[in-house]
Formats: sequence, structure tokens, C-alpha cells
Amino acid sequence: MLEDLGDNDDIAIPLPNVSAPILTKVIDYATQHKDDPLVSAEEANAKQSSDDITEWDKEFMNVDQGTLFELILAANYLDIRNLLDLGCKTVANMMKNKTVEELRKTFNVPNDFTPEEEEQVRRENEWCEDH
Amino acid sequence: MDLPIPTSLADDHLKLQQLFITNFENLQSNSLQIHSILKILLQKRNENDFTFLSQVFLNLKNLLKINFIDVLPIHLCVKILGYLDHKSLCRTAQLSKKWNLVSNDDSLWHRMCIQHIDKRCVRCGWCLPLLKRKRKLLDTDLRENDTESHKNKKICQQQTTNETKHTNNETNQHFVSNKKYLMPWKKVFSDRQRIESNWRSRKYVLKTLYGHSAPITCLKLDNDSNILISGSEDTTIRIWDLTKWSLRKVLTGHTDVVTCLQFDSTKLVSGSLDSTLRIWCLNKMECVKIFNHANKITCLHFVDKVLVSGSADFSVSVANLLTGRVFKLNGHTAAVTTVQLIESNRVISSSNDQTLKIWSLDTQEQLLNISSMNCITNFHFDNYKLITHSRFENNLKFFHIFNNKEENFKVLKFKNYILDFWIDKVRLLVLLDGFISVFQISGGSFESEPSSKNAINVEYQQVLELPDFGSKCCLLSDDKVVCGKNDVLIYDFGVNENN
Repeated sequence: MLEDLGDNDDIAIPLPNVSAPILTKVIDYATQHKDDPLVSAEEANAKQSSDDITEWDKEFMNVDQGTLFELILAANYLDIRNLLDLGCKTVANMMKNKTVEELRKTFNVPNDFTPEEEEQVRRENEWCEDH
Repeated sequence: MDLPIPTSLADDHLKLQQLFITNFENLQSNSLQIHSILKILLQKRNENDFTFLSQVFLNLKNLLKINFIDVLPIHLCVKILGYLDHKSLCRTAQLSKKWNLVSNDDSLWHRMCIQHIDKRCVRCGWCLPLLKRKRKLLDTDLRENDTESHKNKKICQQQTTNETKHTNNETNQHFVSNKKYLMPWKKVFSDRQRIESNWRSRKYVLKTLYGHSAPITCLKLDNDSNILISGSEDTTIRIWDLTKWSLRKVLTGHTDVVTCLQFDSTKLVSGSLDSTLRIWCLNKMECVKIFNHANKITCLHFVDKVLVSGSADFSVSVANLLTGRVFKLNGHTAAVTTVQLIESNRVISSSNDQTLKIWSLDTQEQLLNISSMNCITNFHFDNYKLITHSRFENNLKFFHIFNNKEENFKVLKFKNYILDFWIDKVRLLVLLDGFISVFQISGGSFESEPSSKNAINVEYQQVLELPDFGSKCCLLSDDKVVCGKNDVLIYDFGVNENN
């Protein structure tokens, strides 16, 4: 995005995909993290752990699901990798250690399987419940 | 309650409020209804409504539940699922059809495989067996799976049931007829996960193979071909097929106890107290060469074309099977008990003269001599780590060998006689007098630098004990514990394909 603009700093960049309140949150995040060291994409991918969220970040992400997913979409659109990772990790943590029914309730997922299909899918995946 | 709201109710403020609060779960499916109720309530606000409104606000926050698989682009959903463990991932696959599709994404499970197979996962600590097994193509569902080649390739394409065009992929060199399927990474993961789970929950099937008429002295197993070969005091060598659980062939020829054997895809080498080393061709199942030695052969080891054997006449013999060149390494002052080749240029030998020697194959000189080792019966060397056991002591000693210097860093003590042991990346198997002990290895690192502390910071935790009387040798593989008396006893922790 910035490359397309050229050198002129005064032109305002329209952000049609980001609403005002979400942008405010994004700016809050960026301000808090402005001194963070740069981590390359490979290093970030290698870790793949969702347990390393700081207290400030956790409080920042303590919002309703609507804001949460809008933040993820905004971070994706604005290409802010740390915020995107944080959002995804937060959602992943909401999903951990929940049964199928609890997951369904948390995200309001309608069950579109027929009873036979549901039984088949359950059998296909029952190997993971063994321990 | 359907739209529109009956006008009689619309005027009764209090009733609307109560209806709203008590029926949140039902109302949420119909947002238009919520909207119209709220509109009415907010327009006719009075002072008493503030408690109601704050309650509404709090509840609305919980009411907002988004099935994000419809909201976020697929690559972001996959990114989120990438942070989950395999249990949660299997549960999300049961939510709905779209969830199922995304949760079974091949790249997700490919990453899980890379994190867990043949190495210890940094997150959950599990290590899954490599299982380099080639499966035959049964129906159209399974196809040959070589995990090694798959790990090295970047992307595996998944065959969906709707596709009629079969995509060709450079990894897929094994196929039968004109159907080319690639096993989904999820199945690769689940097969190995189930085996590891069997180990942890001690679920096994005990099978016995009958045949030998005298105690078995040596056992070797190849996971690829599922072949087990046993040598016995009855002078025969038996080749067992573990897929059919039957005897494939009895090899006769030795005239005394078979003390040691080793095989690869083409040949079997066996040593015996009749002072000969025999090489058998595994395709024709017959002996193709006999090396006559001066004295009884006690142990052997070969890597590719270099064959090392130890003898009761105190010497270590090195033979090159390609050139035919044979030379002896002399230095021990008692019978040699175990030999092992390392990196094709060094040999380790242990002997009843209470020393362990490391020789260089190029110069035929001793590089290291460790004395006072107390008659080592058997040792295992792997990646700078040496484990020894002696028949006179009830313990396993661990040494760190680097730069031709040794350092004893650990001793595992036992109450009983140790008869044999076997170690692989994940487990340690110890055959004691009366039972078999299986230890789980944790900590340390597999590919440790020689001087790092990580190499020796390893914990052994006993996880399993199996009763056993009379076995003299044992063997550990990814999914089996094998021990031999007169019969071969196999504790199978594997997964039955018909399950």
C-alpha cells in the first residue's frame, strides 16, 4: 500500500475495509508495540505456540467476538503480522480443551450433518480421544 | 414466538423485558425479533429501565457468537487451526461440513507430522514413531506410503472424492493401475499417534511364534519388510514374516550355536560357535559364502560392505565384502563380546578382559582404551552416547564419548540381573531376570552436539513392566517388543489395519 503512494506523506490513505473503532484499537496496539524487535516470518511460524501471550495483549484481546474477528480481518488487510498472530492465537485458545458440543456453543455452529454422517465423522476422529 | 410481535405485548413494557431476558437463547436465532423488541424498549425508556438495559448490554456481549468459518477467509481459518493440538483439531472436524473440510486440510496435518514424527514436539513432548513401512496398495483407498520421501517434498496434493482428474505429483512414484492417490497427512499422523497412544496406555497383543527347539540367542527385526530373523542354540536360523505371523524359512548349515546375526534388504550374515561366519542371500534363501575363522565367533556387525566380527580368540576381524580384504585387530586379552562399527572408519569392541577399545579402521590402531569396564556383555553406541552392561553388575552405564575421551554420566541401577537391553530414540528396553522393563526417554536432544550438556541431560522413566521368564535376548522396534526363549514372544503395540 505504502509503495503505491510514492513519497508524498500528506495524502490520506482510504481504508474502506476498516471501521473507525477497529482502527482505533489497531492504533492502540501499534503504539504499545512500536518498539518491538522485528521477527522474521520463518521464526514466527516455527514457534506455533499459543501460550506466549503477554498480559497487556491478553487484556487488549478481551473483547466480544465481533470485535475480535474484525481485528483479525483488519490486521490481515493492513498486513500487521504480530496483531494477526495475536488474534489467531486468541481464537485458538478459545477453542482448546473444549468438547465438540462446547465448541458448537462457543461459536454458534449449526450442525448440518445428517445423523449418519455425524456418526461417521465421529468414528473417523475418535482415535484422538484415546488418551 | 414469530414476528411480528403482537401489539398487546408491545405495550406491556415489563412483560417484554422479562420475555427478552428469559428467552435469550431462543431469541438469538432470530435477530430481527431482537431488533424490534429492543427498538420498542429503547423508545419507551423510563428511569427503571437502566438495570434492564445494563443487563441487556452484558448479555448481548455473550450473545454475539460468530461461526467464523463463514466470516474469515479460509487461509486465516487454517492459520487459526494451525495453533491447535491434534485433539482439538479432530473435534473441530466434527462441527459441520465446512469445518470438517478446513480441519482436514492437508497442509495443517503435514505440519503436525513434521513437528511430531521422529522428533519430540516442543509443545506437547510427544514423539511419534517413524514407521518407515511401505504399505501395499489394497483397494483404492490406501496406497504406498513412504514417509521419508513425503517429508522431504513440499506439498502433497490430496485427492478429494469429487475430483475425476487425477493429478500427477513428483512424489508419487508408487502406484498400481491408473489410480493415483496420496494418503492424507492426517492418516499418516493418526496411524502413528495410535501406536504411541497404545504404548502409553500399555495396550498390546501378545503373539507367540513357535519353532526353535532350543533357546534363541539373537534377534533382529526389519520394520520395512516386517521380517524377523532369529538365531538359536539349536544351530538353525529362522526367518519369520510378521505380516502373516508365520515362519517363512529355516536356514540350516551352522554346526553349533548361532551367536549373532544381522541382515539388510539383500543379505543375512550370521556368526556361530562353529567358528564360521555365513552370508546368506535373502532372495534365494541359501548360503552364498562361508568365512572360516580360527575360533568361535561371538559377535558381528556390518554396515554396507564392511563386516566386523569378534571372536573367542581375542581378535577382532574386519572384512571388506567387496574387495575380499580381511585383517585382524589384535589387542584384547580375552574373548571379544560385542563389536560395533561407527561411521565406517572406527570400530568399538568390548571384551572379557574388562576393557572397551575404539580402533581406527584406516590405521588399524587403538584410538581409545577404556579399562576397568568389568566384562562388558553388551553395549550400544549411538551419536556420542555409549551404553554398556556387564553380566556381573546389575546396572547400565552411560558414557559420553567425544574426541576419543570418555565420561561416565549416568548409571541406571536395577534389582535384578540384566540379560539384554535395546534402545531407540524414544524408549529403552531392559530385559531383566523375571520381567521386561520399558523406559520412556525424555529430555535431552536427539541430534545433540557432542559437547553440549543437552546430550547427557536425559531422563529415563519406567512406563511398562512385562513378566518374563527365560528370555535371553530382546528387541525393541517402533511398535513391538520382541523377546526370545525357545519361542519368539512378540508384544505388539501396533495398530491392526482391520480395526
